[in-house]
Amino acid sequence: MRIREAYIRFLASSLATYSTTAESLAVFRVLFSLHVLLFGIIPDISFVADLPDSFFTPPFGFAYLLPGFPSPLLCMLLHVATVMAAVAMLVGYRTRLSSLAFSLLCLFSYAIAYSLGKINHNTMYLLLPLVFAFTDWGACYSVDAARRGASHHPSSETLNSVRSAAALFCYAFAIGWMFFTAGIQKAVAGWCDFSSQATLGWFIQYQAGEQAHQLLSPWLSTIRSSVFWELADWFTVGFEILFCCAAFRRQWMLLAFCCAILFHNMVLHTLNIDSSGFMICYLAFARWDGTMAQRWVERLAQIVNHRWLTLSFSVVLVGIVTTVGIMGTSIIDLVTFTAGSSKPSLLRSAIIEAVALLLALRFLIRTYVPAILRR
Amino acid sequence: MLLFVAAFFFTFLVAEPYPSLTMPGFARVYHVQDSVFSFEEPTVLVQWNSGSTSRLDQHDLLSTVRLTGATAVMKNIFSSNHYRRTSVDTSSTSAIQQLKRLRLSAQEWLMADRTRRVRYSEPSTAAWLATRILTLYPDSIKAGRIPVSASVLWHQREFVRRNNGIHMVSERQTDSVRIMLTTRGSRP
Repeated sequence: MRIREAYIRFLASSLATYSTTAESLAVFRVLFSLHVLLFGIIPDISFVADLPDSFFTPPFGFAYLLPGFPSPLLCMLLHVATVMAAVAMLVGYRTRLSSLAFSLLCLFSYAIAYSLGKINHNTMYLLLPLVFAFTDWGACYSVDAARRGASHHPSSETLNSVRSAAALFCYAFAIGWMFFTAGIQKAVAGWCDFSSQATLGWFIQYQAGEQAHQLLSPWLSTIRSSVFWELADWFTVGFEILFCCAAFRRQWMLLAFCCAILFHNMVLHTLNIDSSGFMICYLAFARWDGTMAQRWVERLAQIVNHRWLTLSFSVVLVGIVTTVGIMGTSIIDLVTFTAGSSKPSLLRSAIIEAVALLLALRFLIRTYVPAILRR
Repeated sequence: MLLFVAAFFFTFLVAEPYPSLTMPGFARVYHVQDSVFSFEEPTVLVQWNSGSTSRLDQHDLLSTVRLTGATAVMKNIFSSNHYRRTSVDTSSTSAIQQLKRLRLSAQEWLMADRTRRVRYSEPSTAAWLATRILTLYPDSIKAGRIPVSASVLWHQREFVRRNNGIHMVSERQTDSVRIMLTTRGSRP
């Protein structure tokens, strides 16, 4: 009985660390939705319609239920429906339903795309709206709030801060678990064995096989120190395994995110694998109240008070994002003239991840240096 | 939490579902004393009716395929023993090796039709490949060249790290498949 009580008390104290405001969550909803729409996250899977069904090797899950690749019309409908769900999530129209629809439609589309035999691990990103649908992220700066007559300020009865905190905790734990699954495989494979050089081995494989010669990769290949590469192995395994435990306190989780950002930077510059999309997932745990982002969102959210203006804006946005998606590119690629080229897009990711690293360093210095100095 | 654990075991003992709460393991390690790094790559060769041969890059062949990796798709479709090859990965440590063997047995038991299906020899694969080759060599028909067959050769390539970069030291063929092609209006 005492163990059960202690466990409940521990869990309650963990949840308390994730308490946040509806305004903060709503600001994040707008930022996340903009990221989805601008960075071309919504998959256009029409290319599968040209492939023979002999290529269809679905992984266990949604796609396993299908007899073969869907028709071009169904692929198109899936794309348009996902864009509509993302735009609805942005303006906060039936936010819970649109968030759930966005996640499920995206996961379904990717499941079909991954029926060719290779799975890319983007679940952390796509799972976010599925979990955040149960938070208060649609309670303000949204059409839902305007329809309730609550303007941008949520009424107390529409809020459930405990549920929001629980959802944030669940999402944090899911991220931690995902990293744990990677860390435990590495540990079993012998990454921490002094006779092995795992990071270096993968780096050489990607340089020779995948032609990963961009960013700092040529410079990193000149590092001969086995201590450096062994440290990289140990750091990766250590932080990935401990990530799971970090979920029990928000402050620990922020520390784990700092390690993750360093890891993503390392992966980008060695293997040229872009993980910049994960940065927005980590921002879900930031407090957005009183920030410049909140002031911008507050101003932009005035649109939701005008029904026809919101509808026109949404229709135009759906049209633009769908067209750009069918062209096989993203709005950010078009704006930065980087469509169809991997080099500038990797450079953009490097800038995003470097900014994230600087923010992580700023957080670490502001949080831990004064505490250390006090001691 | 129990669901997480169950899904984790399913992923590593049978096959990775999608979606799943897992991240890539990058479980392979290289031993320092070997100082040699090896991995497999495909080479696609197109044989023409004129008797000539063209080498086709796998990324060009699969350039219409998005959101996924070319080598993995090549392995899945254009190899004779994909599952078996991964199970006898000599670069892996013994624990991973055993896990892979266990996984292979589970796959053969649970998904017998999938593991035994030879995808490259199916007529729809050959038809797609012929169309794709003609798209990539648009002037071939005018020149009277018709693709007769395509071969996908898998090579284990070994690289060594020396002062001024990474150098390939050996190449060994590990697998090959040949696909007989039929193009519209012609017979090979």
